[in-house]
Amino acid sequence: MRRVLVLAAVLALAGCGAQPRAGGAPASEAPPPPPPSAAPATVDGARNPTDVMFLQMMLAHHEPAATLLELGRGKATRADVRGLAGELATAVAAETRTITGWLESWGEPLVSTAHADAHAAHGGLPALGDKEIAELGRTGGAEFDTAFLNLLIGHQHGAVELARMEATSGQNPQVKELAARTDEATRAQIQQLLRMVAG
Amino acid sequence: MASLFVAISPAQAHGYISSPASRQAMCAQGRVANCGDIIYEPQSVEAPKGSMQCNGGGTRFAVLNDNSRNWPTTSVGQNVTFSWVLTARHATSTWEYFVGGTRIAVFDDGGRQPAANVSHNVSLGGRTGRITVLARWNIADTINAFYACVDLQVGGGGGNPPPTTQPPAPACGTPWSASAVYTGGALVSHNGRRWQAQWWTQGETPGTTGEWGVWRDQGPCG
Repeated sequence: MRRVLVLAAVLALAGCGAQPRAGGAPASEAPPPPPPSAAPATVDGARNPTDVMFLQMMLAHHEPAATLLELGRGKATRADVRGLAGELATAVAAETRTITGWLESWGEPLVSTAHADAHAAHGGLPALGDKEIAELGRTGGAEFDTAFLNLLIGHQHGAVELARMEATSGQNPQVKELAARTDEATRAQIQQLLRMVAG
Repeated sequence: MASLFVAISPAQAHGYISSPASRQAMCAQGRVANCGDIIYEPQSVEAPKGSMQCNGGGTRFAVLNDNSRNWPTTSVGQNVTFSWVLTARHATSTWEYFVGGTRIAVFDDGGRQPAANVSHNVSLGGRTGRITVLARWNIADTINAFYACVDLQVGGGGGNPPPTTQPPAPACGTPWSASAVYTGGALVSHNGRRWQAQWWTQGETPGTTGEWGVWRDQGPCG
């Protein structure tokens, strides 16, 4: 019964309705973030609740992603899909270790204890859970590839949303830098995934 | 065994058609440039039900209505499978598909929550040539729908061949420089091919970073 929903906190911070967002600067004008492998092992102590929540939610985001990617790496029909699944699985594992280390160094829990009911009241359920992954596992061939890619794209959109929340409301420079990298790298992944699923 | 499925999708996240690529998917995958905010959230083309516009009406994401953008088409046969990316699975009344103001298909979910993966097989009713399909995902318990337009080049055949798209003719851009800093999305030319940076990089030679490395091969250029 470790089912934890932390949407309430997100809604409080990000706002519930569909709100226009400020456009990001073009990539050529953005400050260059270091490559994904360069996340520092330690993190400054100064932080606000958004920093903590962002890291907790990224951990929670990565957990089903790791399961999904493992399935895709083993079962996808297309070699390019299997290759990308393997690459992303490696990145997810590395980032999970980094984030876990940061939260532990702060003495913060790895899982948020925010209220659990807000999500159901909001009319939608998360698109990626045990049941969805199990259903995916029962498909095969080209159908599997398309379903896998669509599930992964939908899931990765969530990471972009989280990163942009942290960019807006976070405080800790290293966590904000992680968010900037997450935003940029995840949207590049989505580009690639959308090209794959489009044919 | 423990599940930790956090509601990672804030409330405005919902869904769009990924295959054949919808206009918002064309923007999000970088096939069409200068799309504005839609690249961050192609899943959020939400507006009150009943519109026949690609953005659902209103002012947000108006780029999706702009036919002068010369949206790339996907080549298809008479039967097309439309598949969706969903980031929140709202209780659904119907999924509707239109061409030129005529509804060509409707799928009634009766207020149920959709599966994680949704796809619909739609017959184009003998239409050929370039057409734009408007899809509407009507949510059961709100006033809103999600909108997606898909541009198709319809051949005469009856099958559903693998969709192929016609990208614009590539031209070689700025030559790669070993000392320059490139951020995600940057395009360079090197050894007669175009390369796109997937993230920040410096001093990594295009063609040496592997299929899933920082430089992705965009094909030959002239």
